[in-house]
Amino acid sequence: MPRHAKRNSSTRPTHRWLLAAVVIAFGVGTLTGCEEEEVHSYQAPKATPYVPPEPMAPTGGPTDGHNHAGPPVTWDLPDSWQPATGVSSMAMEAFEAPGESEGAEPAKVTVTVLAGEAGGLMGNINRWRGQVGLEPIQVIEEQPVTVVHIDHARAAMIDLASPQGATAGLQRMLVVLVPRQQDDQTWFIKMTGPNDTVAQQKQNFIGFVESIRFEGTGGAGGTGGAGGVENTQEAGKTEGAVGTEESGETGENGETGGGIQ
Amino acid sequence: MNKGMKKILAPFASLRLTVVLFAVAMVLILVGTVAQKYEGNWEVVNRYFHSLWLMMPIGIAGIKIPFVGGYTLCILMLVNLIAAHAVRFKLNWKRAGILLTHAGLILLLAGELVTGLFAVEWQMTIMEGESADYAVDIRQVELAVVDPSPQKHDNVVIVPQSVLASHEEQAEGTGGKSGGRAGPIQSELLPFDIRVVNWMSNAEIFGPMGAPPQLWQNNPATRGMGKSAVAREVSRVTGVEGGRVDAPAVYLNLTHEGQDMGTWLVPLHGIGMGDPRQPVIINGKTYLLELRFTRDYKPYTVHLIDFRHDKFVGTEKPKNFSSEVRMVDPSRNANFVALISMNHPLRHGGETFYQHQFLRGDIGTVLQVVRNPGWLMPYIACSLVSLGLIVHFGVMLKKFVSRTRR
Repeated sequence: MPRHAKRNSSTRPTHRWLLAAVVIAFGVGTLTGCEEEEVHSYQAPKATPYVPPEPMAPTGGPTDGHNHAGPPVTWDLPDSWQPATGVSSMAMEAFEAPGESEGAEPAKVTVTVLAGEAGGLMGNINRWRGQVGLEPIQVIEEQPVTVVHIDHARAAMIDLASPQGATAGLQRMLVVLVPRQQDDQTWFIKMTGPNDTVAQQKQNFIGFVESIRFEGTGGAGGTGGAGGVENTQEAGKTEGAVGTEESGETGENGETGGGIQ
Repeated sequence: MNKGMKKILAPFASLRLTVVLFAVAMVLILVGTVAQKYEGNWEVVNRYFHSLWLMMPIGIAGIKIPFVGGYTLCILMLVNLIAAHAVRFKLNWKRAGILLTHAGLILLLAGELVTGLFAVEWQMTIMEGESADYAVDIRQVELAVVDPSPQKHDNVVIVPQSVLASHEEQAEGTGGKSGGRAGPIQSELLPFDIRVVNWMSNAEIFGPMGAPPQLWQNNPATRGMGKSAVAREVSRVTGVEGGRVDAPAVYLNLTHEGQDMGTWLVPLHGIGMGDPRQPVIINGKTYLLELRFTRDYKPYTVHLIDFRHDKFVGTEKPKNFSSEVRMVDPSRNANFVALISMNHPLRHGGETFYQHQFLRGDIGTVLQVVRNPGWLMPYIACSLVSLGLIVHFGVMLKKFVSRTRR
């Protein structure tokens, strides 16, 4: 076979570039390999000591300020309140508020953090109303509220009492609902129990609620408070990282937290 | 260059190859951009652009076809350009502009490759008056098993996210959802063997009353946080959901010397406000179990002296954000104060600290810590391209003028 004929039949010049591309791609593929990660160990500086969920400190929740789904928070606990145990719910913190008369059943106070809108205001109000034996409302304005202040922001307190003769499991309930859009969370601070005990502890409850401070986030949220993490790039001037496609738009601590009370 | 060498390089220098590579790049960029609607930004970046090849969905009946990834494309373009110059190289003034422009392009491609392969980005959150000695990668999590018993330090064993995900044994096929390695995670470093019952790349957590009844009834956890909460896998955060990031969770079954230590739910950052770590006690010794963003402990400490959030007078509009920090780095004998603000990052020890975010209430800062050995390359590349175009324009102008005079 003539020399040029042989050449044309196997690697014609017009298709050589394609062969070249395949050669390079194959070379790259074989030269680079994925590095597999393995279990490894190291010594790290001592972290804050582990804090078991209970017993509670008299003031403040866990406030080390790191690795929490939400912001660190502090509060002043009324003297008579005690940490509660055996609360089978998603309550982050739970306390017992005793009644004044001897042998009175104590009221329970819970602080619960739920993801997102946690079922919405209307749905929650009607659920609570049902728990104390009240009829559901049709429009939100039907529900009377008391305004309380949490960390310089306004929040609504709802006081629901079981009507006379009702056979509901709960006699009375006080709930403060704090939506925190910046964390995509809703905080519920709730007192439930016998009518008398809740009435006696109502001022303590309001005092407790108003002592809450979302440390380091400067405000409760719902009605104009602040919190969470902000992008400093919003002012549109940050240089960013050269050559990396996303020089930092992310940053909040994910979507942890939640559950329903 | 001798003829033999030119002959070998000629196919690599083909202009057809260039055109095809540009066309392939357009397809890759288009599909990669659209994919961000369905997947996370970094997932897309890694799969489409920081990869050699990928299985690309074509949008019909879930069919995927093999396609070249960004790295392969980048290297092909680089080789094509270099080969073209090697084969057709002629040094004269008339071609100076073209040479400079192409040199800039080569540097730009090489820079992207260096960035893709070697650049790392972390975040460092510091409260005012406090210090930080580690940064986190919010795109990756790790299971940390911490032995806090030593007086002066903690012994930390890390199980990376990829190991957790690849050992999952959820019943779908033989190797779990990720088609990974079967069997438990065993290591001499770990105080127990870990069976990954269910790995969730993004999860939502429910309490007993909020959980769908079936989910609660099938709660696999028998110990720890999982007794009062249950996790359900949800779709991963996509690239169009702003700053949200995935919150993974994992169900782990632990065994120590054949003894069942229970099944644990370990969600990212724990649940709610409590301590995110869960104690696992083995022979009286406490280990702390935690799923957290991957940490990188640094040889230095950054102390936040002051965070400033300046606004335009009479408005709430941000004018400037800045962090006054003290960098203490014994490994480099450095101890100095620096002001990090927008467009004025701090560069130290091969890393760059950008003002990234702040904690509301202005009580803390989030710095972005970037290590990118190729950070200067795009600047030089763009300068070269600009210079090349100016020179080429000058050469052509001179040619035009002299032709007009004739």
